[in-house]
Amino acid sequence: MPRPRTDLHRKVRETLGHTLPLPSEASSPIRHFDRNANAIISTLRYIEGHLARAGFYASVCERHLANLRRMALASLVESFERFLKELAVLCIDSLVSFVNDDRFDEFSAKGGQIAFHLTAGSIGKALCESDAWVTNKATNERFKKLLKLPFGDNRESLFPDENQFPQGERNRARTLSILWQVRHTITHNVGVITGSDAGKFKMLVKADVESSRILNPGNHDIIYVKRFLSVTAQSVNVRIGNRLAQVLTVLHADNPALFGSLDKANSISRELGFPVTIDGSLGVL
Amino acid sequence: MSKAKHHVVIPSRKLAEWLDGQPGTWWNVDGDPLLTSEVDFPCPNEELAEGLRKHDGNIMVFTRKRGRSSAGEDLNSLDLDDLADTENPKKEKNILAAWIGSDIEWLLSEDKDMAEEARRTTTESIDAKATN
Repeated sequence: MPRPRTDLHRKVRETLGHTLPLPSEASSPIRHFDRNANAIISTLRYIEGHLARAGFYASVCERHLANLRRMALASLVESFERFLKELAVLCIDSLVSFVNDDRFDEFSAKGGQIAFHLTAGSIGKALCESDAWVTNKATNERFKKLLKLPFGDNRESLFPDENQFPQGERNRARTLSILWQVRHTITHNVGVITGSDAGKFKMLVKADVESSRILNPGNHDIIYVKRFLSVTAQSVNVRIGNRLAQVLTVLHADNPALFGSLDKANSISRELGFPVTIDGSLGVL
Repeated sequence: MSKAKHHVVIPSRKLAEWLDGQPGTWWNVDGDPLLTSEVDFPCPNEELAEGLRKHDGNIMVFTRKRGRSSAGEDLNSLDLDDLADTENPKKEKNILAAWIGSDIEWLLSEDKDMAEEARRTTTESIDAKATN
């Protein structure tokens, strides 16, 4: 009797039912990022530690670990992307009821996507979660417009290019550009540095990068990437948080009936993980 | 550590002080939602000690050895080195722990490889400065 065929169509669909609840830290973008990034490192360390104890063939082990490290590297960068989105959601949900201008026009969500999210009560999620945030340019343009002062421009870029401000953030922005490209190489080309990738890397690092080779990050590479992203996330959290507080201060000063400044300062401070001041009201954690 | 049966309860500051006494070491925490959402791991001893000091709580430390103290008792003579599990190829210190009031067990573990890498990088950096 022939073996019954497995219904692969059904099996694939069943994957969507296998989920876990979000951790409580997910209500704070920076805490959620730290937890995700640490979990990636812990997974690598746990597996490597146990494989070392088990005494498997070193060369075979190393091949599998190289695959895992590539996935870990991409996941770290994607965790940072998720952090940026969550921070943008916080900004949009904090502003959406009090502004009437074009600051949300940078987002590409269509009516159908927005409708899905209305039940969750978050316009921010509707606008941010379906877009990719994997270039400095897209991230800069969205945050720049989102956090402009009412009827004014925002000249500061989150990750400034060579001709943008603040100047002190340019080096960080260049390094982040390299990581966006590394993520692209791993996600879309399983780590193979194509001719196109090599060309972009050369421009970014201003040095020769050989094509037709596979990225093979070591443990220390992963840890240094993580530390760079963690430091960057902390800095971005403070810069965006303070700018959001500044925009809300201007709105509140213009019309105090819009919202209670202390309540708003408290709720935003809790989500950001540090105290912000809105129109003289200092939030508590 | 999965066979650990005994435990001692110590204030988080005691664990922080123990880490203070080990300059140049690096550490990981695996599984604690609190510390892993606040501290960038792996990290040097002083960063984890600072993270622990933000929380004035008590920690249950599990050990295969018989517990010699409970909260507030005999803490001065308690040596966490004695409680750490070092039965692994690199003889790294591992401590299984849980915050009092939480049922989540987490693993504090030394990272000798990263400590060595950090020492090497610091030396390189000093050498480069001296050359320039």
